[in-house]
Amino acid sequence: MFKKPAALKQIPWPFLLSFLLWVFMFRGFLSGELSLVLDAVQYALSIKFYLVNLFHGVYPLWDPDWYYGIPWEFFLRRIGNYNPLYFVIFLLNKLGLSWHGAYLWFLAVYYFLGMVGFYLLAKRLVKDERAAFLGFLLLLFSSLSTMLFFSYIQLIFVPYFWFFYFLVAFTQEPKQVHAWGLTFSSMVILTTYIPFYFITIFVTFLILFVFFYMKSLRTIFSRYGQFAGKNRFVAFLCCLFILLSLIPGYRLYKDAASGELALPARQQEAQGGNIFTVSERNIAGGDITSQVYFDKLFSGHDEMELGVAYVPVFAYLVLLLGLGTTLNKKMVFMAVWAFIILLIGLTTTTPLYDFLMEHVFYFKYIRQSYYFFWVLVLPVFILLLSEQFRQLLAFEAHRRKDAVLAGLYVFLIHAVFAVFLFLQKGVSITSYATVFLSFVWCSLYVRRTANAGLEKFFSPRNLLISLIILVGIQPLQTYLFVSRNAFHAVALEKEMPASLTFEYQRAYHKSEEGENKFSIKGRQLYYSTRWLYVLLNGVDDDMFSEYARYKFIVYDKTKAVEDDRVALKEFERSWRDRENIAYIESAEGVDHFSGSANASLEPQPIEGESGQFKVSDFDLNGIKIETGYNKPKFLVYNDNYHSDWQAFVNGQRTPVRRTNISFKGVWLPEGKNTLVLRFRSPIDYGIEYFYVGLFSLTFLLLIIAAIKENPSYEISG
Amino acid sequence: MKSAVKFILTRGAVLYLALFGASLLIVDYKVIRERVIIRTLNHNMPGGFTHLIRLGEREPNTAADKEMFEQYERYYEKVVQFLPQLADAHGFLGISYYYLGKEKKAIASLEKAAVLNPYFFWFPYNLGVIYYKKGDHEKAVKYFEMARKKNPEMAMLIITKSIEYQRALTGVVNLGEIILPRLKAGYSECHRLLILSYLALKDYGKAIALANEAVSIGLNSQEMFYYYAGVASYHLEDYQKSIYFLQQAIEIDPDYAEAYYFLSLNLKAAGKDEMAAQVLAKAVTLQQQGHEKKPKEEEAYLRAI
Repeated sequence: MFKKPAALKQIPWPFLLSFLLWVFMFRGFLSGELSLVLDAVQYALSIKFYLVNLFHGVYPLWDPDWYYGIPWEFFLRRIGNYNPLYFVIFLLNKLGLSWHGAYLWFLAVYYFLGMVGFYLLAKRLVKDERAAFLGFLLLLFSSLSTMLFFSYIQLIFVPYFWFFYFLVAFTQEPKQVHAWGLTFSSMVILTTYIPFYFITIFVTFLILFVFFYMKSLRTIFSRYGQFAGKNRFVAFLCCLFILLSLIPGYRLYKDAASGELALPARQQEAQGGNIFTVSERNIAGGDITSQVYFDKLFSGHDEMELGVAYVPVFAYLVLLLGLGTTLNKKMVFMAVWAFIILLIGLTTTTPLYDFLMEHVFYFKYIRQSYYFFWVLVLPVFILLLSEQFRQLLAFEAHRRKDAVLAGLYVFLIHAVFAVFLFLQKGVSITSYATVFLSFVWCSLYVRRTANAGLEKFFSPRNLLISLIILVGIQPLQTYLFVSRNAFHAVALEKEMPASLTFEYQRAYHKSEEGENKFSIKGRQLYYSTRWLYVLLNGVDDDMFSEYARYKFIVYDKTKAVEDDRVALKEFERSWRDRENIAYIESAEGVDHFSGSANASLEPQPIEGESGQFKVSDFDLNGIKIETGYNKPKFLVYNDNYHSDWQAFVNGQRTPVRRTNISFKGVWLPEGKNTLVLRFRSPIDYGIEYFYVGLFSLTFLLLIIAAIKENPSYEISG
Repeated sequence: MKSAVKFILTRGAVLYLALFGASLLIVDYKVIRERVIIRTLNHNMPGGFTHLIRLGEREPNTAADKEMFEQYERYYEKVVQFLPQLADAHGFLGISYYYLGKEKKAIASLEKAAVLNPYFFWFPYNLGVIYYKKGDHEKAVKYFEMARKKNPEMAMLIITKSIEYQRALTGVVNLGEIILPRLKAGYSECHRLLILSYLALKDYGKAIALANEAVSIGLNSQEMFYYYAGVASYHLEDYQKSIYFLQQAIEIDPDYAEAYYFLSLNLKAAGKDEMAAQVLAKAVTLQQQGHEKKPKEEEAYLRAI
């Protein structure tokens, strides 16, 4: 007889089966047939941009193609680039998948990883594998999945789930694997997007925890202390790594307050020196009820789209059946926590938000308050259901009377819910099918104690399989509708700026509407330097387009104009009149070469390589230019100015001037010169690589600790 | 008793009820409702309102785009769900239902619109059209009579001020120049269909009175009203009057084939067979030349403006 190998028994089949079912539901998206939309596209491009450049040996700190050049740290923080799991994309690409395909499968695997984290957390909290598995299924098949193709929120919630799992695990059972897990997830959270969502969630958690579990605090801290005492070096490293991971976010925060950058779309009419400050209008518009659609919870699934709130219908049946379960402290704790976060997510509709805005400095930086729904309210609601389900599973009818009463209760709940569905418009057939199957399942379950056959039928493995059917049947149909209503894919490829050719002029053509491609107005910018924003709002579109098509313009004279408003007018007139004068921000640079007595009549735009001008090397972060003019020249590089740019002429540091409002200018002496322009110093790049290494090391230490401490006890099928 | 209370207070349901109760104290549900409305309506906004506002234009008649009307249906169903007192939304919904073949729902929505805003011309007009096309002339007469008595200035005001009309007409330039002629055409159409309904009901006296009214208030297509007055008079066997009306119609439009036809019938009835034959020949010639250009009896369209 064939005997199942022991290794096969170790594979958590129900999890794999669920994942395969999920993959089947989203096969249109994962195959690339259907399109990512909105922020999901931009983040996919950013991650690709980062990885492609990194593996070409260029760490992208500047993007010259984003509105005439922009520091790229903002995008790096958004994607949380230090996360070593991104290397999976690179790996999949090397294994033969296209970048697009590799990214989509990374999304799927990363999401599944988050769901496994959620399962482990649920298991720790409800202390029942079956109930935790139900939680896993409900969240896996909820519309949180659809956010993968609509948003970037998976970058936020996946580390959150693992953080809370490791926190609970470490508190219950301090081990190195949990300490490293806690450290690694904290590091990822603190360096991804804006960590203020997490801080809000975590601080609320801590306050409530102290309130609810005051008596346990001493035991918990004593446990922590014992671990730290026994594992001093590990504890030290964990704390150090977490502290180090605060620095990149802090640096970005400081840069954002430097006044050199602008986020017009975010700020609008917001007051405040930091570009992350959000206007009141944006705050009010980012709340849960303004951004999340709740109108398809029970019906209208044929019109379901990405990002619409949805949980499998079985969740409501568990909720209703569980209304009669016994309350416990854990349930109250979770419910109050989710409730408070929900109130915060409702923004200005509650006095709580006003209070927080007034007293907590970072609340003015939170724009997408509806994220709270996806990353906390929904998962905690499902945890509550898991706890209710645990209690329901524990029910045993030892007397016939109990079984009859339980059967009646099951019937009543299912009947009421079926009638409720019947009164809705456009309820899918699978919703009714789920109600029916659930009724049968529950009716059999309550009678299992008195029936040996049923007891066998509800073996742990069978129960998990039956849960997959009960939960998965409705989403199968719902996500079919989602796929049907989704956009068909467009190419997700972007030419990398690190490409091997350098163009001396920007592509200049008219769009279909006859509007100039360069004529974007400042207010339409998403993220740019502040001076570009000023420039685009202050000069004529056609004039700017004509000017900015040239990446380099050589002048003979400079003129200092400190007031940007005056400079705008002077610059506009001067370019129209083809005056041979570049306008610089301060008087310092004017006398460098005393101008030129034999100035030619017009400035000289560089249209291509010549004997006098040649770009000999370039990448995202810098450029090397060979020049040979017979008199001093002022070179304007129409790539945005930022104070972190450095210039070297023949190896000697020379000042970079903010020129023509927004761009970079450097004086060149007569004769042959080699000019190197570089964004930031080698030390800055060293620090970045250090962080990439640090995160990879921490992940490695987590894996080693996990293998050493054998966590196979955690997931079993 | 005490243990029963304890049992109840420790049920899961209590937790949800308590949180909901707390939310009633803390959360401003009115603002939430407004946000939900705005978001939902924005989400369901149709790809454009051109099909709706161009209804009734005979060339081209754009009413057949089912996909667009499904979008309108979805959108206005949401509007009336949130703002059930918005008469214009009910009106638009009724039109959308009609062009999707949901006649009963269309009538219900338009009736609701007419109740919510009894001053507006287009609601009873559209109801009249639906019944007219169904062949229910009595009900058609009821609604067309209702419509023709509405003040056109009020209709103009409603179109320019009401929420959904404003939304649908966003981006339409020279609004005043469009609405006024269309309203006038609407009143003219209302009289035409009403007269046709009276003719179908054989109430010729009312048909004549209405045609006279249409002429006296200067509605479009005066010749057509003379023609209808002529037809009604013919059926009343008042041939002299009929001949007069038909001659008036022909004077305004010398190529009016149908008027010549009825004129020939009158002449024949009056015993002037030779002249009748000549006039009939003229009618046939004009018809063959394609001068049968007046709207056909079955032609009737719902309209938004």
